Amino acid sequence: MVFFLQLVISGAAVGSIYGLVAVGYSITYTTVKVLNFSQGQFVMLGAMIGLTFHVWWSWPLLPAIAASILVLVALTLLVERVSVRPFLSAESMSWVLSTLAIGIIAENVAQLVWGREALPFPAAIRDQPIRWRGMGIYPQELLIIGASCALMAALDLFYGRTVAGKALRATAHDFDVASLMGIDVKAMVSVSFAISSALAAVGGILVAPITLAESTMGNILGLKAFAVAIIGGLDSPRGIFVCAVAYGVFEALCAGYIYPGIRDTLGFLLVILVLLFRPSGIFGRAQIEKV
Amino acid sequence: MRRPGAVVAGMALAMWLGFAGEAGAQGKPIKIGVPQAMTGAVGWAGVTSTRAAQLAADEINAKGGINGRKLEIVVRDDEHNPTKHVAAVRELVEKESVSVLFGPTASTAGLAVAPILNDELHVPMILPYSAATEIVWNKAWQDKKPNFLYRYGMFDSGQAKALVEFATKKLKKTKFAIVVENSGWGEGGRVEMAKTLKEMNLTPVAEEKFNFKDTDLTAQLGRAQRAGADTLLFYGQVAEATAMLRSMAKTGYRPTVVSAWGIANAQFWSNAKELGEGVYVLTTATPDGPQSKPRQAFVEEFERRHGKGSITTFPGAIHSYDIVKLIEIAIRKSGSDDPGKIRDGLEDIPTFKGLLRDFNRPVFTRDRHDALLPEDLLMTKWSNGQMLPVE
Repeated sequence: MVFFLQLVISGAAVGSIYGLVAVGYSITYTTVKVLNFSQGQFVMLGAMIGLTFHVWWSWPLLPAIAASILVLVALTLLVERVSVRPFLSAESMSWVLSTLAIGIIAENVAQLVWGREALPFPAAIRDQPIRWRGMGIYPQELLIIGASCALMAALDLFYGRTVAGKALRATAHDFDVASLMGIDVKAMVSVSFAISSALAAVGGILVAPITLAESTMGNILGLKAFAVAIIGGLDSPRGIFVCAVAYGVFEALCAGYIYPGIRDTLGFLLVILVLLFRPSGIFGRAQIEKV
Repeated sequence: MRRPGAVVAGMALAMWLGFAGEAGAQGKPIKIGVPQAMTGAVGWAGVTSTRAAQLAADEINAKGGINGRKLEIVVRDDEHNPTKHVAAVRELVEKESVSVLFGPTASTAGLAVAPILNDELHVPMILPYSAATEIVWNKAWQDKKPNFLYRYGMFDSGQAKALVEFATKKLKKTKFAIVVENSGWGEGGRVEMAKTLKEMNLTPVAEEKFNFKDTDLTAQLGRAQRAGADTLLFYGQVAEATAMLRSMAKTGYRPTVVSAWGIANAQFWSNAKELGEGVYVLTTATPDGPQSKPRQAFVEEFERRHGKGSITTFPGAIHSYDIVKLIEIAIRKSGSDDPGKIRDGLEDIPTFKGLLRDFNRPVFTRDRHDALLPEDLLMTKWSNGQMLPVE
């Protein structure tokens, strides 16, 4: 029983990390129907920029987070301007490739600036595990679970209850109509990228104490996060959180009770199965194209 | 128009004469090719290897080179990629006409290039890094044909054996979990360690794998704990080793960890910190604890050139330095920089005082191309940020 509970706890912690990254996919998708495939690399950049302020320059954590958000948002707005907007206005799908390319560039630049080794990142809170009857969890992991949950809840409310949130979703629904309704579509695209990169900065700084800050940390994170975003339903922050935690627990149970090597195979198999029966994800709303 | 043309022609002639004079058989440099990862995740390994090789070559050149000829280190970045490694080796041999080669950083690259060197290029290669057994104990060796691959460094068959022997004989443990990374290196280690345990009539109680970038190993550890393991035989790198130790701290399960040399570097301590205390790690040499005079001189000169803490891998650095010195002896012995003659020379070094150790036996023989024996490997224990030799 202790083993089972530990697997659930560990899985939930790992799953929340995926969720924290996945929320970035959701924001740009819900608002402008664009997926930023360099989301994982943006989280990595968040961790690296945070590391620069917090560890190298010894800034306190909160100002370092604020500064990282500013830097990353500025960077993202530039990237969005050159690698997404031109394709969006041309109604082309080339943003898939351009966002992937941005990710590769980000990774290479990070290697040049911060090197290739895994760098330790101090935990935001006490770095001693909390233990109870042979089970344990790090306070940082609890923080990630909490932050992930809170962020998703806030986003859910933002989309459903606020005018700005509704404007963003209207934009996604139809650019032309939104534009006719007086919504500044270009601004909405920028806003959605800015929000997603701000969250990436926070996410990077939160997960780096667990994953270590490394130029290649975005690859697996981005991939797993994409998987849970798809299962959960790209347009449902709530669904993404639930599914991220469930996916993490599923992985841990597979590794614990079947065989660690089979974890990813079963995990991605599950993604395919879900897509087969619920193409919009478990919590996603079915897409109905009216002709 | 005429005059500048004549000047250019005259200059070209003068340069050609000058160059021809210098490039006579006497003065032509002897080239050593270094095709390793210089960029990417293990770029630090190639850079340190190259710097140490250059340092040794500079020392030899400062004393007038070998029979009046200078040593030249020619570097290529193979990006830790087997295909690029093979291409780099071909280019070094065919275009640069190197006389001898350093081995790659990746074992997979070594496995790819071995048959090409043996069957086609016939240029000796000495490995400072890649540990896969079959690179050196290859097909040519099995077929009793000329084998051009030599290793001066860690080797997996010896490593697995040394880890198991230390854990069984010195630590007197019997309940082992094998925990390895999901890679060619990890799988090779798992097979060799299980084989060695079997020879002692022992079976590991658990065999677990983890992936690169795994951050939580509680599942693997829980399985090992449930199976009753009190000792982990570990093959992995710094990030995953740190994740494993952090997972141990969560549940309070703290078996003895006996690790292959993936965590035999300072990076490990800066990540794992106190959690790394007491972890055993096998290596060929440690920078901590008292050092010989020549080693002190080497470290001083290396750090004078490249800065304090620039030796990212101490074993890699001293292997590479010693390899250049071995090449020097081989060329002097055979009196030629012909690759085939260097090969003969390498097998004709009866004793050798290296930075790594003193060899009171031939470094290589016709049949044994691994310079080190399992008993030459050094077991160390992480203690307070230092990797100290275990008595």
